[in-house]
Amino acid sequence: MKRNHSLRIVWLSLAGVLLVALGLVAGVELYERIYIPSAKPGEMPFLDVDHDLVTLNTTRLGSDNPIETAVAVSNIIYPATESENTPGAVVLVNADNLPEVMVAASRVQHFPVNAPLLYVTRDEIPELTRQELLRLKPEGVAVDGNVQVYVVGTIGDEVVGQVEAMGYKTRLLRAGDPIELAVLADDWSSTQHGDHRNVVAIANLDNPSPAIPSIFWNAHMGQGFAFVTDEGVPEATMDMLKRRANGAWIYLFGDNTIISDETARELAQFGLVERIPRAGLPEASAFFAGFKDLGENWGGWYWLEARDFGWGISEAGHNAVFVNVDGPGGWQNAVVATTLSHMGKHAPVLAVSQNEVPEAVANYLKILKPYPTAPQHQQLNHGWIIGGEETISWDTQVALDQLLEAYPYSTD
Amino acid sequence: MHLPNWFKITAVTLAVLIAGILLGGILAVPYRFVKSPHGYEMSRLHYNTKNSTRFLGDNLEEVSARVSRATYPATSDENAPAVVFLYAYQEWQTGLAVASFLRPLNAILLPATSGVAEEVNRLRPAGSPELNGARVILLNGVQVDGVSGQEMSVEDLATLGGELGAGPRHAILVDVNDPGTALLAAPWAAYSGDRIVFDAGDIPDGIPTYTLGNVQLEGAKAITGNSPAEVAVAFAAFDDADNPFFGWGMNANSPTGYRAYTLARIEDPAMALLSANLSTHGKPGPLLWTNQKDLPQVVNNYIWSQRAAFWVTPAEGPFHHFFVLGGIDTISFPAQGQADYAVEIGPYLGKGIGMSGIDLIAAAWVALGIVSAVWILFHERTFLPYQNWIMQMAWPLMAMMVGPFGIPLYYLAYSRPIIKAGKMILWDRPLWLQGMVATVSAVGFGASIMIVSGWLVTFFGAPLIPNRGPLTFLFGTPMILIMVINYIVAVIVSWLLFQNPMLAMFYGLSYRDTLTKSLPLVLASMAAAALAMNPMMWAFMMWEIPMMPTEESILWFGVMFVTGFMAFLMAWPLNYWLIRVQRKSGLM
Repeated sequence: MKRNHSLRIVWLSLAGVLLVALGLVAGVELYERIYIPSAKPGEMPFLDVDHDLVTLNTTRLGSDNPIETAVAVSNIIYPATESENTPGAVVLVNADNLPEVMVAASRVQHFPVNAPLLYVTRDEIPELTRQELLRLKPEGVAVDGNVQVYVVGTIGDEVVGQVEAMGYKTRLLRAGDPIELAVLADDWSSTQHGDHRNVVAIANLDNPSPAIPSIFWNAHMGQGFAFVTDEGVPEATMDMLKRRANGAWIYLFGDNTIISDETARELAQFGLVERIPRAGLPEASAFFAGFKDLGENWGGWYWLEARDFGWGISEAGHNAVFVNVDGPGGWQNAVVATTLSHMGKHAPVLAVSQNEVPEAVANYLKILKPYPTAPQHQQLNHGWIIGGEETISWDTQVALDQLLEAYPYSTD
Repeated sequence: MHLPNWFKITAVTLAVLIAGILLGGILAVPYRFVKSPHGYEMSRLHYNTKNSTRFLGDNLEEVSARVSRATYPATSDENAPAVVFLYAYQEWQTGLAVASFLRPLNAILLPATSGVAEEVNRLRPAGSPELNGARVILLNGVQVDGVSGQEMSVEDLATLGGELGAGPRHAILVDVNDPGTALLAAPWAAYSGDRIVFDAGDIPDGIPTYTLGNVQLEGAKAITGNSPAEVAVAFAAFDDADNPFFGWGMNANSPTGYRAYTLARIEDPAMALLSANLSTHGKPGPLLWTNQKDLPQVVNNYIWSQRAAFWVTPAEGPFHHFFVLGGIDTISFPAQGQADYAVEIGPYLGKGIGMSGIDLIAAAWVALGIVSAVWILFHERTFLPYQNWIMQMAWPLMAMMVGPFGIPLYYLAYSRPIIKAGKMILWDRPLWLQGMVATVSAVGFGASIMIVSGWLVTFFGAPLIPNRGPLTFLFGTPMILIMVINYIVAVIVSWLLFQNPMLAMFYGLSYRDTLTKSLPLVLASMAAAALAMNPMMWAFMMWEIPMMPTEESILWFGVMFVTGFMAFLMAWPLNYWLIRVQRKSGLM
């Protein structure tokens, strides 16, 4: 008698446990529904060019309009058809401020955030950006209060208000100037990881173009990023570098015409300084794609963390993001492609012009040239062509396709 | 000491809540995975993905024009074909039969749709020296408006083809009436030059033969399956131990290769046959069948089994790619998205939902824990009627976390002689076992509350307070804030509802009078538990596991439960000492 009675409580408790469990699953489902905006994205203007101009080894992405290119990149990385291919958040950047976009790509995009970059202006959200925001329904970053939209740079409250009105949770990273913004992003990122990234890429705020390759790397690796100027090392950057517990490993993007030797010496008080010694973007991009620096970072005895900076790609079986910063869309049409380094083909950037593959890039691609092997062992390359035909022509795309091709066209 | 009934009810309810939330979180993991994809109607700028290229089009002509342009951009003679093969698209057999000649002749194979002239003009074929300078071959006499060319039968071409280069190494015998299996030979023939035959009598002399699908031939190796999708997968994975020259060999034993698949629909053989062109150069790879709405299970599993894993960095490759033939009415975008995720390169340890070894260990640990907890609950209620009621809750909660260890520990604790102490029944245990039981009562509640708290904080988003102080920045760190929150929640709940009443019974004091005495004990044993759990959690989640797991993954529960076990091991010596100094009891 006693026994039956006691087991009734067990059955009751188990039923209770199961009820709570099922309730929780239902709650999770319900919460996820509430948490995403109910507004539906509108019809997007279809980019036929992205399907017309493809080759077996290249995919064209976007158009000559940077807002479309940003969304095209976001489309390609994040199908958003199931939880696994939905981003954690979206990073909104000001389309009028290259240094700010560089900070956003370098410091915010990478895991655990996992976000595409989309353009806004100081006071407005372009219609297509709004639609993409509504399409993506970012899941929220669990290690940052489920933030769904990062607003990075000089973006006004009007825009923030509109994003929040969509139902998204935001975090604002805004500062007086890009130097401060880089520091602010470092604070945020360091707090998130409980650690300051010792590896820091350095761009010259007065001539940032050669540092564009660094932001693609950082979108892939989430390492440090800071500015110097023609005048030297700003106070804020110095303080930021000092915060690294074990010294910094500093990589200057540009030769001494871009970042002076004097500035390099100044930086040397904070850590080991190395250079990507190229002044032009195409040259810097090709140089950095092959660059790899390994060595001491921190730790000791049996626990060593090595530093690891640069793609170091010098063999077949890799990919590249081809951009042109001098097309009708300007740099805006290039820097939003960093998401392609973060996910998918995990590719470095290579800068080309509309009608030409620069020699440095062509020579580099010859090193990566794949070759026929057994089908199960084949090494293949793929290239992303960012922008429309005014940015990178079809002929240039085909020339790149041929450089990436593994198989000769004919056995003749 | 006598506790009011409502108190007992509250405590039991809370234990049920803890177990329920943990179980719910665990059940939500597979629940998320079985949810079907969405976004079938979603508007997009294009239909490519990071790992795939779609040859979009509303009809065969549009799709084949795009395949043709991608294969032969024809901006110069170097990337233009020598010759175009046109075939009547209703007769896929004709096109399939000539796939072997595409590479040797630098040719493209197009269905003779009514407007194909435009594409032929764009291609500007230079003319094939092997075919007397012919620019267009009209196979079996097919006629199209605006295209002139040389008529040729498949047999003539086969005869001629036999004289090209080294000739075919192998023959593939396929079923002339079954496009679902026969067409699978197309990309391979285009890639390798192997001959496709519909009749065993046409097999060139002296070369090994393979059969696809239900075709049977003595002496030939067969590639079969129960459905066309299965045959496709079998062919993609096929390698011949006796012959290194046949088969894609894309299976788990070939570790480094870059996979390229073409996804097509069986319902449109001519469209699927375009896959032959895609294997002449660029990214050769097998043809796989898909449904419109989603991938067939066998195909999805195969692609997953081939998923690329990186060892050092995701930039190392290999990078898989796939082509999609047709518009979204033919193959939906979510189906493409499904394949895209399946081919995406992932860390070797923990390949997403692919259930890597570490996920399986986590799942096994969690499953064992649940089973042990239920077993213990029934056992203690059936066979230990005099067991303390708080211990009756602590044991299943502890067992839930400690995977294989719950039942052995329980056995150690209760296969002991009993002592009657007034109304109470106690178990006669050595000090080390008393320490263990006291640990179970503390950690069973403490660790499980911490994990529940951790789950809730992660689910609703962990706080992050950015700041730049030299050390204070650590206290804005989400992982550390989670630890602090978990500790505080665990101390308060466990102190008021479980530990204090236990100690009140032990000391024979009232609930209220025990509060101040029990708090330091709870703080200490929770601190010991937290000290064991948190560094483990940090090490696992921030360092050891390449992608930090969230509460959406079974790995999260695995890590948390294992750290719960660590907390148990860590708190054990402390409780042993507390028992020695008679601050705690471990006889219940």
